[in-house]
Amino acid sequence: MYKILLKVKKPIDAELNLMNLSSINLIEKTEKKITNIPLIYKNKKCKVKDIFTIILKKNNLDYDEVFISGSNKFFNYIGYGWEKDHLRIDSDVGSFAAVKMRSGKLIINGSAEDFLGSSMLGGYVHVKKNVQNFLGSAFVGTRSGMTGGTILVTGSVGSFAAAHMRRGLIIIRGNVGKYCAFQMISGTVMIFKSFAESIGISMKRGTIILMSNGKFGKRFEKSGVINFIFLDLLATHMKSNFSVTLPDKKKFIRYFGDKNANGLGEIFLKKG
Amino acid sequence: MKKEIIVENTFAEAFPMKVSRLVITAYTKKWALEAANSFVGFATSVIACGCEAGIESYLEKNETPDGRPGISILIFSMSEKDLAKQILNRAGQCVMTSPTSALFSGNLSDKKISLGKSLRYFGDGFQISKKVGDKRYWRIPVMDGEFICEEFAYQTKGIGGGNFLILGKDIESVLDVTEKAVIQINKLKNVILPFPGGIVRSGSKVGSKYRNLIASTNFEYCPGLKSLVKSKLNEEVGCVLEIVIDGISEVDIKNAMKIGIKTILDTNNENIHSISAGNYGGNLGPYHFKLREILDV
Repeated sequence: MYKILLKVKKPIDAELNLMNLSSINLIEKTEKKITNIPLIYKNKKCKVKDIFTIILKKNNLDYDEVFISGSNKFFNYIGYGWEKDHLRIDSDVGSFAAVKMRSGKLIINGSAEDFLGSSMLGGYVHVKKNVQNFLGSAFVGTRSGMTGGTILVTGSVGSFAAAHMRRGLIIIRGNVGKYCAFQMISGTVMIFKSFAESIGISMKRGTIILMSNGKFGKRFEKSGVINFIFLDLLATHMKSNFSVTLPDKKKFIRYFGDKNANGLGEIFLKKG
Repeated sequence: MKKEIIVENTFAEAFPMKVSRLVITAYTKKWALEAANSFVGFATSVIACGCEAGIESYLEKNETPDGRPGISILIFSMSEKDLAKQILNRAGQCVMTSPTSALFSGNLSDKKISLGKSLRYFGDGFQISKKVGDKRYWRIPVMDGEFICEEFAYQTKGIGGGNFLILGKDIESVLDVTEKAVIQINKLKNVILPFPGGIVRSGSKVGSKYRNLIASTNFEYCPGLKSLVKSKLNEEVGCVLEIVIDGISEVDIKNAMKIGIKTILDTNNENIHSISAGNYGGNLGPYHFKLREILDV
């Protein structure tokens, strides 16, 4: 397969729409075909060759690897509808990264703006710094949040993370802002550090795992302490597939809610 | 002069079966084993048990889906329907009931067997499904917390009825060498020995003088009937035991038979007369495991 290096030719100081770059999944991997992929920069049509220097090499893997070097917060729609192979970004990205992503891997070594993984269907996204608002939530103009796949954020996340989420897994190792899991329908969100009191508002079903203490009001009712074996399963999956280590299983206090919405969502709060 | 153990020029006759591998985990190895032993109980022969099942191997924490100690089980049956029925019944009654247990599939194929998909109804509406990677799991509330069960098990092709017979002077010596062979075969993956302790004493033949019975004692190998029937035992033989092997493939069964027989030959036990095998003339089962061929004699 191929290793494709896309290195930015000149500084990008306005919105760059990379939605069509995902067609790299499906096209023949030749320099000619890649250079002609259409992009939009400063609201004008352009081609990959206008923005990037392309280096194409063979690799010894059974999947293609695409590396983007020199990105910043103007790089929008990276990995939009991504279907297979690995995409690695060496710096920050803009909004709408991994929106409607189907499969494969997206690794972002910097931070991401809004709507990362919105309406995502599958695959794996790892953001090594922070993410702004609407992580894994419903994409603009739609009502369904993430419906599959895994998102790992090493840093912190803004508001409305996992809003309207339907399936999949989001792991946030840092803090999370207001209205996390708003109107969540199913899926799993795991938060390691602080969270706002508005977490899980109007939650119908789904699971929130909280690894540090905090308040979430009387909308959730305490429902006993259990050995949360599912977390063992999750930990093994993360370690074997993504080399991510989750904490050892501990006892968790289980809450059900949001009572105000007759919800049966569950919050697991690490005991002690 | 030291007497050699004879390997008879015969073959074991085996049949195609359906097989599934399951992984049971629990809080400790002890409880994983309890659940596994319960699951594989009363599963010695399809003649009356509906399936043949056994423990394939012990799994370390790093080999199981949830990082807990586990046991790998193989369960064989003659048909897809029987296999699905046996797995579901045993999972529900033997694994779900066992403290701290969880149940996962141990193989993959196109043919799915409903596992958590059916057991979830025990949750009476409080069950929760979770998708981890490509697989769906059911979290069923139980009195010690939750029973985690994978949505499907998977069925593949297997072979049942690989076997060999150990003929010797008396029960003490035959049992001793047979146990040694069982220990060695039990170390192998992809095979199980479904009978108690891996050994059968009641080898059977097809049919009976009684119309309703589909199988009856293999009198040709019963030492107490030598004078009454056309016996296959000579004067020296006073006891016969059998090892029956079910496996995933022909290679697995051949390998298990080879290791088992070699273990017995290596004992050089003077009271062991010969090694033979059970067959039905070659007309029933498509798999013929020729003893001498297996041992490269």
